[in-house]
Amino acid sequence: METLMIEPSKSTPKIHFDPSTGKLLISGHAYPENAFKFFEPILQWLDLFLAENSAQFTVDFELRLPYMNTSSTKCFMILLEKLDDAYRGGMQVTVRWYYNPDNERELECAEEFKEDLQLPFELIPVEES
Amino acid sequence: MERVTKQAPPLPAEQPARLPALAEMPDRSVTKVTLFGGAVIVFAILLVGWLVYTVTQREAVDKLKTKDLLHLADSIAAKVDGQIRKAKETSLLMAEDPNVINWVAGGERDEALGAVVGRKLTLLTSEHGYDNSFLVSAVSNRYWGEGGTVLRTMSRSDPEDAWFYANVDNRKPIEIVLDYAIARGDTFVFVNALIGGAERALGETGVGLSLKQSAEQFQQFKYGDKSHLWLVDREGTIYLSDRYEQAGTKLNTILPGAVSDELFAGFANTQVVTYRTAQTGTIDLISRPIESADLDIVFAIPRSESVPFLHKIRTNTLLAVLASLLLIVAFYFYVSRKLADPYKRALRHNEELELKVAERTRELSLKHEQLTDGIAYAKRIQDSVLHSEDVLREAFPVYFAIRQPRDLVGGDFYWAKRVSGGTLAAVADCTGHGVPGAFMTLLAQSLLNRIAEHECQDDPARLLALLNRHLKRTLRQETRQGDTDDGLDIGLLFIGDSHVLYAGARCPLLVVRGGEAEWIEGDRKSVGYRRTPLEYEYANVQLELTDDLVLFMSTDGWYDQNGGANDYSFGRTRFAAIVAGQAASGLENCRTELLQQLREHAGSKEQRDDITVLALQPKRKQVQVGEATR
Repeated sequence: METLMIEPSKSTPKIHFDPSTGKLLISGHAYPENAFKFFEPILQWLDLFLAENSAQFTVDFELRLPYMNTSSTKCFMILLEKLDDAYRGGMQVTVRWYYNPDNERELECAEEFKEDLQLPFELIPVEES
Repeated sequence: MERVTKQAPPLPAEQPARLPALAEMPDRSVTKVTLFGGAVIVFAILLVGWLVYTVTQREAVDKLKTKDLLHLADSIAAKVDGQIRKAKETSLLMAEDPNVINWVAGGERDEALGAVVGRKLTLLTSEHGYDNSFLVSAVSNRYWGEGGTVLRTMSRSDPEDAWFYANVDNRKPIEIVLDYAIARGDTFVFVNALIGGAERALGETGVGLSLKQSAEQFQQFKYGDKSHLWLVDREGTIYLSDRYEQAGTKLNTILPGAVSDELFAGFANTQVVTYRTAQTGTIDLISRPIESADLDIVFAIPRSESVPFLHKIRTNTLLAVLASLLLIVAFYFYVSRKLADPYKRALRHNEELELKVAERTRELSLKHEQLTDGIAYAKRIQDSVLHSEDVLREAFPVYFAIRQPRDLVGGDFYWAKRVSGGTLAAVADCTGHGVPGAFMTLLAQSLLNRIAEHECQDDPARLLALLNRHLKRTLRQETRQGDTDDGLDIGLLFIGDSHVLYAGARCPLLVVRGGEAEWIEGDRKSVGYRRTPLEYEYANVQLELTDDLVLFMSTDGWYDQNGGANDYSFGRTRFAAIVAGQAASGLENCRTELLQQLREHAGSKEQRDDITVLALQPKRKQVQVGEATR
């Protein structure tokens, strides 16, 4: 499997999924006009990745998302649900969301996601400008 | 209002603009560059040529003065010196010869000695190259000549013989004497040696050289026709010259006064003097003393003879410079032309591209205008459908409503409907914004109206549940999987006479009472989406209706607006704080303050999402005008 690298743009985040280490990173703003179009390849990649890797693999999901629009939120939920399913299937999955404590909405958004998931979901404040 | 079908105006038949004649266009700058470059090259070549010539000339002259002339003078001096030394030696040998001494001392009586001496005298001229030889006895006063015979008898009273007696009296061992006999067309130099030396002073003997021949010999030393050679004494009297007739004259009659003064001032040393006159040009003079006599060689060479090749160098350098210039300038122009051509072509190409770009831009802006026109019309439709002002105004004396779509049309709306027993009011955030969002708003509003009219009027929770079902059916989103997944977040209020009911789907209610603000969250399941079960039941929250009760509902566009120094979101907390703070000053001020702070926060950032806010103070009696925007 190849590494998935998507450069950030004004309205889309940076994606860096490394299959060899299991480190998945999403960082930046997510408010594309057509969220499905943006997230489709990412979801496909994730499907493939989760199918190919056995339960022994540790997936480390790092998130830094100060803002996402509604449609992105939906797509993101789908993404997280896939990971949740994998976790319930026995895979080691950890989600770590780095948020800025001054950015209220970010924390709220993260917490909302967390509510619906079973997998380990850490909310880590980061003091950064 | 009639439908106006807008047609795009026909494109005018246009030719692309004619490009200006290329002949003048770029040539000016290219010519300037060419000329300047050419000037630089010309200057460089001239400079090099001049430098080469000047340096060469200077070095040549320097060499001439410091080496060539010296060597020349040395070699001439050596020759002359040699000749004089030889003559001196010969004379001295004669003078010291015991045969000569004895014979003279004996009054020339001894015949055997006489024969010897006579033979010597003869040999001096016949074999050794002297012009004459002599012997004058101070004892007998007889003058013996080269023939070995007596030529005359000397006499003290004869002024012509004075030289003899002077030498003898002075006891000068050796002397060089010039004898000018211009009438004869010849001059002689005599070397006189004292017979027997200074102790005996028996007479004089020696040899003589014809100047004429020496002068002719001198010729071989000359550099060229115009160079001159002199042998002078310390007073400047010319003993010998390449022009024989100058013998006996003074050098300062031939050379300019200042020059000969300078020469005489330093006669004891070798010196080089350069002078220039109008007739002669530049002349280099070298004078060198001759050790064997108190004489100096003076050699004068015109510069034109000593470094004649300089003229050649100058001419050739000039020719080379001119040739190079012509070649380079020609080459340069040729190359420039070759460069200018592609340059011109590039410019033309650029012009053509710009025309193309202008054309495309025109086409695009036409298309864009069409699109915008379409959406502007759509906006009119949305605005009229979503119009709820009358209901609000009638139902609530004190309220405000803000509707600020991000684009022309948007996905947010507020809604109000008079029902029996009270009024329904809602704020909703449909999926997306812009055109897709607008579609949803029309659908949602239509459903709300239908449900409120036919199915449920005073139970917000049930109303939302019905809305959920209807929407899912309409959008065919009853199952978990499917192509679309759209819906809305909504906060719905039923305001009766004495109580308020609230039900929300991810749209919290902000309650302000007694100066305090409190959030009521509502349900977490949005309306219409697949993840929300078809039969989902929402919950009502009941609130007591008091005079000071103020209710706020907002879509998340406000809270999400980014801005400030760190580009963070506005946040619910800040919103609530403002509202609480403004509780005493009235709803109008509250609205102003909220908008002000939002504007400040956003600063130069764009509006991120649709914004809709509804604020109600149901029990207030005083009329305050609320406004909807846009």
